[in-house]
Amino acid sequence: MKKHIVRHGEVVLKQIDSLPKEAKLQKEINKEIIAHSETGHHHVLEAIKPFKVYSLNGDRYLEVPQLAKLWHQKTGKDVHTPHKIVKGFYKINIKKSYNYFSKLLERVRD
Amino acid sequence: MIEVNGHKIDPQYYIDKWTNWALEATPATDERVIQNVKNLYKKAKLKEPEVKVFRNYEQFMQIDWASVGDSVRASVGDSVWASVWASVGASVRDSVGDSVRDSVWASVGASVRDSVRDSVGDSVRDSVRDSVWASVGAWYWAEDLAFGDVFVDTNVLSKEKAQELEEYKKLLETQRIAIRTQDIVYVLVAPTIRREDGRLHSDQRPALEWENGTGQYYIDGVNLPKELWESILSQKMTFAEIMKIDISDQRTVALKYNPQAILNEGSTLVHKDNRNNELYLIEGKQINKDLEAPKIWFLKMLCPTGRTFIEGVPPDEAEKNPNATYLQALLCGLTLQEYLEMELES
Repeated sequence: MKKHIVRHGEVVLKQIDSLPKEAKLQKEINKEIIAHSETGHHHVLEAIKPFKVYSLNGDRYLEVPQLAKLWHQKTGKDVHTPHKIVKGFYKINIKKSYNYFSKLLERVRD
Repeated sequence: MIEVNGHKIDPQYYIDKWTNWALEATPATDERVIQNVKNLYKKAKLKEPEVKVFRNYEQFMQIDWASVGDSVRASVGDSVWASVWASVGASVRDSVGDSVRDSVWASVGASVRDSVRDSVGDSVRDSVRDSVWASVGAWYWAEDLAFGDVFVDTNVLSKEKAQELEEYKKLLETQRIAIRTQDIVYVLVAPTIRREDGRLHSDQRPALEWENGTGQYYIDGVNLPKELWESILSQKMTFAEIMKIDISDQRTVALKYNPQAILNEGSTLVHKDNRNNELYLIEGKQINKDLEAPKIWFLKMLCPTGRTFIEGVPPDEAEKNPNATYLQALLCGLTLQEYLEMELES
């Protein structure tokens, strides 16, 4: 079955078949900031039924039991449109950029 | 993972939890701070002290610290700590023995201490000045209690002892920076500390901010003078301006937040796809010598929101496949196939 992959600014939610075995449950929640923005323009996942957030080696994963919404906590211009996130397991990717001074791939911030 | 009382625990979970707690300023009125100090002294069976609360860093620094003396930490600090330890630590030792306690301390407590120090240790020390620390001692208490939760969660501590640990935590969280003498306790209300990915960072306010609004500015954990912090965030710096910065960490941050500075140096469009991705290459320019990079590759992407993003691409990957779509997928953590199948891009 085709996997659901959503890009929302620097956030990429990638559907996966199952969670990694060692992933540790962090919380079960109805609303979670997926990518934090200091200006308050967070990328937020929200659902009526609580979803689970896991972590492993600095990566985060989601278990979404029913339809959820990924939205941009912002008004006015430059707002990413909301997206429906279907039931399933997801890996949260945050986009990276190569820094020619440090010679490292670094996480993109918004 | 380490094992305590038959339970497997992940030290990193507790390290993160307690480091965050240690660095989180707790809003409190003067009355609350004063009462908490008095309650702490009472628990330690010490005479009730006078408590002076400072919310202004400059006023705190005007105290004649040399006259306060340097015997405080040993005489008062140890009494307070002994009180905490007598309550919680002894129960732990009696239940699981010194070796388990030491193991947890090494895995969790000491790591929290290191983590707190890595995050703010030098900054706070700089702010409170070496002279104060050297004269009287001031420290974050979290590291001393950091391992306690492990023994609560693994049922080593009784409910009563767990409650007591929580009470100590409540008392101490409003007096993280405190100079304790027998007669007077000076409390500097802890600064608000803003972090991302475990590093001091704010593009809105000082990352380490005292209550009067003064503080120190950081981006990605790099300390910056306010003027430079403002210049970097203006995103209008030229490459020449960036190269004039003496400190390499500051240069790195400046370039990261001003990627247009490189593109303006003269770049060639290498590939453009139908997803608004454009791959640019710079070679044979002065900037290549300055960055010790014979080829500098950048992706320019027009976001559906209307903004333009410019992001560096690993040169080895760009050399292998100078394709804007492939490289955009790579930066998104996707394979080319996954990126092409991604229907939603907004």
